[in-house]
Amino acid sequence: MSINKKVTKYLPLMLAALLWAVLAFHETSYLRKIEDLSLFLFDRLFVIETLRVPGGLLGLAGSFLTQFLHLPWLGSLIWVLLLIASAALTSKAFKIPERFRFLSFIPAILLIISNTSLGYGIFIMRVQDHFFSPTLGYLLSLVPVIAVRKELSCNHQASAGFIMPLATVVLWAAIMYPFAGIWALAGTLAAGVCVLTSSQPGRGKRIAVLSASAASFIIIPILYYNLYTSLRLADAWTAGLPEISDDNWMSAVRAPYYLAIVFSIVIPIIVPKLTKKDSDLKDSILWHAIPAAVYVLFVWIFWFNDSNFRTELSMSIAVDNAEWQQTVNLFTDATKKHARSDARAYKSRTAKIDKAGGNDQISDIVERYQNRFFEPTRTMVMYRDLALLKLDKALNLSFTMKDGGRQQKSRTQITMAYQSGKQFYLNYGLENMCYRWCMEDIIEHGWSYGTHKYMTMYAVVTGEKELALKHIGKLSKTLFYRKWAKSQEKLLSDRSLLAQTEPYKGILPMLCFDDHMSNDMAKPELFVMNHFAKAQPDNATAEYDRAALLFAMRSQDISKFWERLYYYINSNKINKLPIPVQEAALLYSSLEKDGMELPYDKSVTDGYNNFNKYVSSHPIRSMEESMYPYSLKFGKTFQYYYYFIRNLKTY
Amino acid sequence: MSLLVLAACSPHVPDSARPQNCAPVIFPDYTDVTVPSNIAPLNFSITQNGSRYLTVMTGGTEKYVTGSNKVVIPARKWNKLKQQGKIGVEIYVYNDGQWNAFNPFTITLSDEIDPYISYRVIMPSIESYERLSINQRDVTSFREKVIYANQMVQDSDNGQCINCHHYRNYTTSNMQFHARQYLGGTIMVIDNDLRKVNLKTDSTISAGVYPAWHPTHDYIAYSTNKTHQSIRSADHNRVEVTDEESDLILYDIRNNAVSVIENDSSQFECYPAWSPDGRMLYYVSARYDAPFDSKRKDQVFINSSEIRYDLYRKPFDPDTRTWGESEMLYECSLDGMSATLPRVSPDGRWLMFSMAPYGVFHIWHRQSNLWVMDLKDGSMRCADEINSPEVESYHSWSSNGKWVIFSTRREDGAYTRLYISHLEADGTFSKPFALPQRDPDFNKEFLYSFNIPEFMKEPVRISPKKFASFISGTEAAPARYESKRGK
Repeated sequence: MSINKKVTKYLPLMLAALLWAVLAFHETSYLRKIEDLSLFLFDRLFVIETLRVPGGLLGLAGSFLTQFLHLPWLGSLIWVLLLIASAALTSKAFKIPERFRFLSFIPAILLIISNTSLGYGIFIMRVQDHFFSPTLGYLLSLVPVIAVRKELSCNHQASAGFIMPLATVVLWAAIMYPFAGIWALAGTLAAGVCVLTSSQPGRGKRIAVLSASAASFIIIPILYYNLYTSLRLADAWTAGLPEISDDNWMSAVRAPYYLAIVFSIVIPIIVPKLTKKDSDLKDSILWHAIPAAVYVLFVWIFWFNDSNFRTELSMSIAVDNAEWQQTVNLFTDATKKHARSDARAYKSRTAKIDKAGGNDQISDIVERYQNRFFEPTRTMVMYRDLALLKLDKALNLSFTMKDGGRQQKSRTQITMAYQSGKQFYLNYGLENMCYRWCMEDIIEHGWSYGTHKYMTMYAVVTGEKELALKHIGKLSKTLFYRKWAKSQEKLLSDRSLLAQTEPYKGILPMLCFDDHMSNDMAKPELFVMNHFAKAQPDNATAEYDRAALLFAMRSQDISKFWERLYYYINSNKINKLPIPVQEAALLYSSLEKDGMELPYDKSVTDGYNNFNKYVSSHPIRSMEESMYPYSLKFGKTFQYYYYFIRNLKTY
Repeated sequence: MSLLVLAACSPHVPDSARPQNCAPVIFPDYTDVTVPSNIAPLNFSITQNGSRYLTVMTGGTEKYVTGSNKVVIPARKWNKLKQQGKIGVEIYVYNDGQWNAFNPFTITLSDEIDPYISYRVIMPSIESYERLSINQRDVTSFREKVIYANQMVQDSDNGQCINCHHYRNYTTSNMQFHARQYLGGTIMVIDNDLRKVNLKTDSTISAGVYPAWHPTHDYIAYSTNKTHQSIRSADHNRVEVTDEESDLILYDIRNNAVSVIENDSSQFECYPAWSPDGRMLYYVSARYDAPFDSKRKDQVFINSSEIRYDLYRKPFDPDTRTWGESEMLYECSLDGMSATLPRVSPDGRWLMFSMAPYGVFHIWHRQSNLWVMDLKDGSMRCADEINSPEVESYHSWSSNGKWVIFSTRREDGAYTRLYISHLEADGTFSKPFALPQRDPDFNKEFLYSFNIPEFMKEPVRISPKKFASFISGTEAAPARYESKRGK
């Protein structure tokens, strides 16, 4: 085997193996979340509902395969194998010469980019099959191309060589459009172009086949449009493509699919020209290695690479599983991971500031460096605080950890309500808000395993047995959640078992507040904070008062702090206040003359004095500039939180 | 030979069965119900635990035997079973090594029902309305069609809400529904011609909301509402919808003009409904005195549990378009109750309404029940025989006045389902039964609600596409405001 052949054969396989490894072991949470946001039920009604839109069969197949992302190694393996199949079939369908085999990977690369570039977009995708169905759609679109190739090569009779491809392009679109939407049309058009660029039948007939495929492309969606009541006429030509509930993001999401379709229409025109030039080209490793490197580079550039996003997803999965310690660990790991890069950024920034000419230049440098320091998103902080509360460590540890409000690296800011609203609301006992965000999410983005799970838990908490059974029934028809569904069924008739079972044992003590009218305006963090700041419930539990004090401290509202502290001390019967609470009390006492006098630990008073001394010896030019050096010395104190973590934007 | 094999395999009544002395548990519960003679097959599931099942249905000499726990009756068989006016049902369940016989029950066939109903298909949502449709169902079969769906018009950035489909005298040549927000307007079919109207004028609170088409003249009474929605933080009634302002208007179809019926600023007048002769307008109204300032909206929510609607009626002369003085029919607020959705039976005798301890939007009030008033003598009672511990809300009379269809969340507390009941000669109602579905488990599985059930004598013949292209391509014609209340 020549080197060239070896490279052609093994390089793609090596890159595919690399892709699988990265997905399976580095993007585990991303794949799990995509699965959590999808749904496949072994259920007649689910099948009927899915098939009600053009492209429904692809959606069904895509949803079926998406469930295997529950085991990321398996789901990603299936997808990578489909990508390999797409490259192999592209090569075969379009008869791409061996030396130009690298071209056959273009659709696969586009499909990789489509899936790995989404980032926060996964939370607002309108269909749940988006990970697999475009790949299946592309594969399906190659079928008529292969069919007409075969017909052209088999049928030597002129009439058969014309009629068969003509029938194929028209019938394929007519029959497959309801099942595959745009991919059926794309296949028809690509097949038409293939016939046009082939050597037989005669030119007129070839043009006739192309015209028929073009006409099918235009007319068939119009004809089918009259049978559907689920789409606009303008959407009939994009049916079967993933949809995102943000129009400004739609074209970016769909661009890779459009390019893959354009590729399959253009490549039959290019291939004959390549064949002619083939003999002029030399056989070298570089000839294949360079395109491979370009592909890798493209995938790398478009891959959504945001460590906060990954941490959020991992924490989200841990919260779903009520793995509270794991949730906290994920946050601390993320902080530790950035310690070195923070130090490097500080060193580099200091060097630049030292050389800077004036205050304006310093401000510029500080601003430029701001994003190089680690800062958690509000969602990460909310997940962490929730977990710490469940572990009864929040008042001791929450203010000793990193805080902040880094914006999502996202084309559109995805509201926390869609991303994690149902999780926060359920776990803080705000059951009706959990219901609300399950419903809003379902209406905007469709049912998912996640929403069925949270609707089940909502109904379990509120004791609505029949409603719980409805969702348990749905999850019983899944491959990976039937066991979980069964476990919930047991809880329905045993309230004492419920009180001992996660996550309910942490939720039930939160259900002690009085009813009031509310609207969260799609801002869960603010809503939760205000909820706990409202009037003290008559039957407040110790758990409730801990959460109320935590959010009073978060709000930096001094009067709320004293009020909540009073109730906290009463209900929690503690011997000694947690250090951050003492720090807050000492700080607020000094800021207000009529604060509460408390017995403070020596370390607290020393720390407070040290902070004040340090401030006088290290004047603060700007909060952004001083944040890092102050955090090294006082980052684990409430004083630091009070002075440096301010004006955060929640979303 | 093959016949013998078939006979051996087909289910047959067991020779001996242990009597259970109780009714079988089936879903939907069709035990001892009275149903219209033209209703679709009453398919049901036996939810009793067992390894084998047997159902025997007998109507005169006709028999239907099935061995499945899902009893799906072929239409032709159902029609034969119905002919004697009564269907006997026996159910046997094989469990613990023997057959168990449950108490047989009877399905009684009675007056015919209008062949069509229409309803809105909606998720029990709070704010979003991505997927809404108004559908029509042939109740004599399982055929269901979309009348109009918002997905045919809206896009990601421009949502459209659709609601309040309504017909004149149960016929579809004159009908209406509202499209809100994107390409919005009131979509009317007037003698089979389409019209899109903007009923909002500078002098009225809003466009028309809850409609009542005059039975003899070309008028439609509407409520106009400024409403708000809020979520209850810790109550089984999850959502609260309140009026901040509410009045009644009359739309004159021929003149495209709106005039005021009631607009007392200290009253929330709502839910108009005509008497069958069109000479009386029934409605509900709540007294609310808070000032019109920036705090009013919040104040309405704070007071929401104390806002209660009383029943009123107002005489009307359709020929001269003149109104008489309003008369309070039932001051339910004195009893700590709030009445909504008054609907008069076609014979003018019965007034059905839904009532709960407070508020105007009872679909979110679990305590909401259906009540009925005898307009002959003013007596009134809670229709306990058709109510449940969960919500009963929107209701409609069939055109012959023999049936009511109503929406209820009795099955699971969240998803609204449609139940039908027969009005007996003594003014009571028969045991309500769920609108039959092809798949007996449909109501358990389907994750949408059905609301605003309305009877129709005929299907809507305008296609969904025609509605969609009309809504997309037509500007809503503004209605004119007439300051005079009547001629």
